[in-house]
Amino acid sequence: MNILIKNGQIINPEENQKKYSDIFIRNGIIEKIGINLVCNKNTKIINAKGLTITPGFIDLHSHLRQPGFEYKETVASGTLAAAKGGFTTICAMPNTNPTIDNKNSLEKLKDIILSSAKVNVLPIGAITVSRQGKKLAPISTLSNNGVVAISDDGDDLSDVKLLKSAMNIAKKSKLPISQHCEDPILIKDGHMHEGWVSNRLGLQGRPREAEINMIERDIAIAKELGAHLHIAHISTKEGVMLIKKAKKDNIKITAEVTPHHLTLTHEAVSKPADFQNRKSINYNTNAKVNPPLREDDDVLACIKGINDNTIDAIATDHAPHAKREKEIEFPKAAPGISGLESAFAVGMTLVKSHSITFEKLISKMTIDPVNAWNLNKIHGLEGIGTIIEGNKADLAIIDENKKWVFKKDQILSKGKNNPFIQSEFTGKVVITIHNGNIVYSEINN
Amino acid sequence: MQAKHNKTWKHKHLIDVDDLSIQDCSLVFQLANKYEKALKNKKSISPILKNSNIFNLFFEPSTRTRASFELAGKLLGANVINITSEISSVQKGESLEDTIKTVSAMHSDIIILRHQDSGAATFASMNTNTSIINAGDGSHAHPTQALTDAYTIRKRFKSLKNINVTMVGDIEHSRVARSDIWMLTKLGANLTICGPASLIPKSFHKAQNSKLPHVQVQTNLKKALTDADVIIALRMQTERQKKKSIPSLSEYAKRYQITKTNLQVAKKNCLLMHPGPKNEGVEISREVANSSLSKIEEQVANGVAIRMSLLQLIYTNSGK
Ligand SMILES: [Zn+2]
Repeated sequence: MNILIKNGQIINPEENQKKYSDIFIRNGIIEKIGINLVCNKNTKIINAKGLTITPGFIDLHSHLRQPGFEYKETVASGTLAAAKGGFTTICAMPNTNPTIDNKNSLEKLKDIILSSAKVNVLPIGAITVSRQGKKLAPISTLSNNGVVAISDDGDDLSDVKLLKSAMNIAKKSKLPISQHCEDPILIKDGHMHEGWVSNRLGLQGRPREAEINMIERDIAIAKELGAHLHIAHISTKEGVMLIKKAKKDNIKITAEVTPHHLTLTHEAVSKPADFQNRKSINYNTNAKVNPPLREDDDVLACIKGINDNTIDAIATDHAPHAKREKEIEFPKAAPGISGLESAFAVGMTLVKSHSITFEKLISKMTIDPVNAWNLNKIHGLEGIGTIIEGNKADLAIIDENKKWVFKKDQILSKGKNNPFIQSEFTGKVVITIHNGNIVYSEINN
Repeated sequence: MQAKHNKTWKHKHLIDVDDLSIQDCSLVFQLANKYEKALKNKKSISPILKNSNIFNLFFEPSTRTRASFELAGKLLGANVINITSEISSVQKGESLEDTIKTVSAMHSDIIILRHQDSGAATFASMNTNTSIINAGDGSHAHPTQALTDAYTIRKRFKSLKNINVTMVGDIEHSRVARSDIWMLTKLGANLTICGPASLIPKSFHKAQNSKLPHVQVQTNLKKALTDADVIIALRMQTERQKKKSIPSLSEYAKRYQITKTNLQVAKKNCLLMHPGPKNEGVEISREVANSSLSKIEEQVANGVAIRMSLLQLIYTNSGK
């Protein structure tokens, strides 16, 4: 089917321009962008008057759980959630069972993706076998078979020697190495940010030093080896400063931040959970996440990092969990936020508070992550993150003014673990188009 | 004493002291005072909780707190059922949620919960219509102990306003410390916390960006004890040593043990308290623990009265 999108406002972040135009999509490709385009009968027309059209969003960090943890999420359910959130390309972390640490498991994952993914899923390979931090995975083989990065995410790779070897191979394979920076010794038994809230709740803390130390260490190694270091889900102001300095020193470093680290602090843990109102304190497991939600200064530093491009991408760290893993005593609850469906709307709260511009938000969810990992150099992904003629049609159509409430029962991901449930948002993705197909729509016209 | 529905008490559960207003605390103290006198004078106590079912659900071993609640319940005429972790199905992998729901289904009126996880009492209260009384959850809270401590101090000084209280020991991991800090500062005491830096949460040092109560932090025992009206020694748990928070128990004792000598800087006739069980020779010297200053046994007796008071307030206001 062909699609004609009429009268939308197109935001093409790469060209830093806004224009009112029609977009004609034929056979999955953006064939023409122009004013007053006409079409034949066999074309679906989308009236986008008052709506904004952006490139489909790109997520550098999501956990799709398949294979092995299908009760939490599958490629099918996760990509459905992605489509609802406006994402057309998501990178999948390898902490599945089996781990994506060899050619065989990678090929099997690719089969699952081929048969069930609603949007692009780009696999990330593990750095070490079973992510145990003991023995290197066959990184160059993984690279030759299509992983876009390597990561032992969830854990910090603490063995420096191993990290160096991994960086050397990753460098040759031109792969970024995405690091979850938290020193395992400092965070042992910790359940949230170490601060006054952890003190009040009697929970062991995960101190900010755990992140700072590891970022410092990883930057030093990346500098020595010239490898591409990507800092996953940055959360501390000190970490942002370290990245800023490293960029200034021309070290090959990129970084991402999550929507929740841009908007929430550790106080979210003591806020009432959605299913209960308790006036004083609470243990909101939906706000339990690693690295933990930190303090006001950290949030402000992360926003600043977005604005001055210290931070390249907004990435969801989509981490779905089953009900029984979250609705449980806080220390036993699994860390993580199921964030694909709230990411854009949470980003919009920053636009509404004038912390960032709308264009900045879109850049950080489209072209900037593409450039961070050179995704447009990958065969089949040319032009990704931009809206130009000849591109595959991956688009998000947004109603910037739509007011809505984020409801638990409307979450498509299997993971309903999200601290923004019941939040009122302004701005919503109303249609997502991937390869010229409408993969999500809440508009009838 | 008559069982009257008390309109000023609005709490179905007791999770921690920060839910309680100053008026709530006064109510608890008044009623406890009546019960304390009745017990002392061997007066008969009306069975206000007759035909009620109270479950002591203890996931951690505790003799004192459990016995105190059991006695309090029985003195008020309740059926008290003890479920400890050894006999509960938790060891067979049943979740806290399921256990709470099972116990709730047994016509329970009040569940007294002791659990090793911070937040367990909050979690339990979200999963049942039965009243939950927190008898200690992880490092979070132990509200009945805090009320007992406040009551014990109040008895001597009439009010806690401007009373200098010094708490010594492992503040970081102590639920008693946490509940005491909130309770005593709420009632107007000047609180000093003292112990090795590794056992005092950093956030007490820089409380300006926080919603923590104002306390003095002091790592020097002598300074901390100077002019103290009340001294609360906390139990030093031996596992702290394994976790490298302190070099050794004897090293700790050398620097932080409450002894006759270092009590000389405190106010004359100061109160010496300990939530128990105490390690004599570690956090407190045998001599001091058994001196006339010690209120440790009185704390135990007061604890029963406080728990009777709370059981009555919660039972008569849970819509029964
Ligand atoms: Zn991570």
